[in-house]
Amino acid sequence: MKKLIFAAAISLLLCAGGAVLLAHVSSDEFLNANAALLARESDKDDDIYCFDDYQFRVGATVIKCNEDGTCEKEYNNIGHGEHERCESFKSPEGQ
Amino acid sequence: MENTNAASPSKVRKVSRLLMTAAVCLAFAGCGEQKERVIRHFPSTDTLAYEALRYDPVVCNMATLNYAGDWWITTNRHGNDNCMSVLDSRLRPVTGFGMIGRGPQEWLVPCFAGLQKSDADSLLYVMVRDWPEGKLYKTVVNLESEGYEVSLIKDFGISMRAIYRLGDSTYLCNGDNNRYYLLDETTGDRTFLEGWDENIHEAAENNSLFIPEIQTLESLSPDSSQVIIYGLEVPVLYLHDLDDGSLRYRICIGNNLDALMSDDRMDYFAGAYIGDGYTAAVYCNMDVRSGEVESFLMMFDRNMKLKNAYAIPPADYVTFNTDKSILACLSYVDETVYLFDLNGLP
Repeated sequence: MKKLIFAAAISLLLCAGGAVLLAHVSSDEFLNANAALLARESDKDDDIYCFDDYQFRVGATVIKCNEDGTCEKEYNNIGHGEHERCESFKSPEGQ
Repeated sequence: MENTNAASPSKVRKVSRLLMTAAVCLAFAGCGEQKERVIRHFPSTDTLAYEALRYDPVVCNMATLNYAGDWWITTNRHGNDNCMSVLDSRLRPVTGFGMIGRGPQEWLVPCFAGLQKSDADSLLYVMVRDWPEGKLYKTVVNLESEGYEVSLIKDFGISMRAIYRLGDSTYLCNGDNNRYYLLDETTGDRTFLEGWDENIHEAAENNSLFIPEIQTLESLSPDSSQVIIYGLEVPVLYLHDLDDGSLRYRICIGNNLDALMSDDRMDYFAGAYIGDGYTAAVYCNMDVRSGEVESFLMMFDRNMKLKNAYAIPPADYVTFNTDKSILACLSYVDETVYLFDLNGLP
């Protein structure tokens, strides 16, 4: 009987379907994993971090920051080679 | 008093063995169809024959290309008078339609959202989604007179990455926070596709500058019963049923999803389409140092098992003719559309 219970437990463990699809990447993990940080700007409650490693692609959105410090989302950019792209994170002051 | 109902020790042993065997069999049977898989090695890749169609970017500087019956529909980069065009089968311009702007019949970022059946050969009914505006339009393009009419079908009021009309009152939707859901227009109920509502944080995701962790595009099966979602920055595929949004399979290339999210690799999918009993996906691997891209056509069976992979020219955008099983890959650098006949491919 003990062997039966053990075998059933192992079976359940082997067959348990994983359902987690998205792993939330914290801002620290994101920063550590990405290319050289070019600039940091602030836009209201968000800190904007800009990197130089992005390959734009149809279907993708990116943030572009202007010289006057305003940032906006761009859609469906296409191109070749490395481009600057920015990500926004909630600044500690804005949380 | 003797218990005449007690089972004999030998009977207990026999039943235990039977149940253990059944448990082991169940284990193997259940595990045979894992819905989350990692493909770490390609089968040996063959090259694939293709037809190459050159296009003139001065005449039609296309950003995207989609089959529309016997025609092609393009969205154009800046420089064209119209933001969308109809091309013939040899990529020669027939007519243009749509204007960029904020007027009532103008679009900010037009995206091809499908073709409706037309009752006349000279009319095309093109569905267009305006991404930042979150609006779905029906455009009637007259191929003879070269005129067009635009009418608003639905306004979501926020930017939308995807809007597909599945029936009279059902839509497959995706907001800018990249969480796919089915919308019942009559009740307003949203049903997220399985897994797409995990760890949702709407307060942060409603930020206008929010960029989702995994950006994707998608395509519907010809009968709109399934959707294949493909990663634009991470090489992941999701196959969902659309009657209930359940996840059939999630396929990652190279590593599990957690590892893919944090590594420096530049590989992704340029397109994926569901054919008759198979799924075709174009996987691209970019060399970080040189910027050169290798593309592969991956052919999966109906259970998303990889059957073969073929080396193809680098692809920037992919579209699929479901009637003829022809895959078209657009290359900006080559100014060429490569056509692959998928009929009979293993």
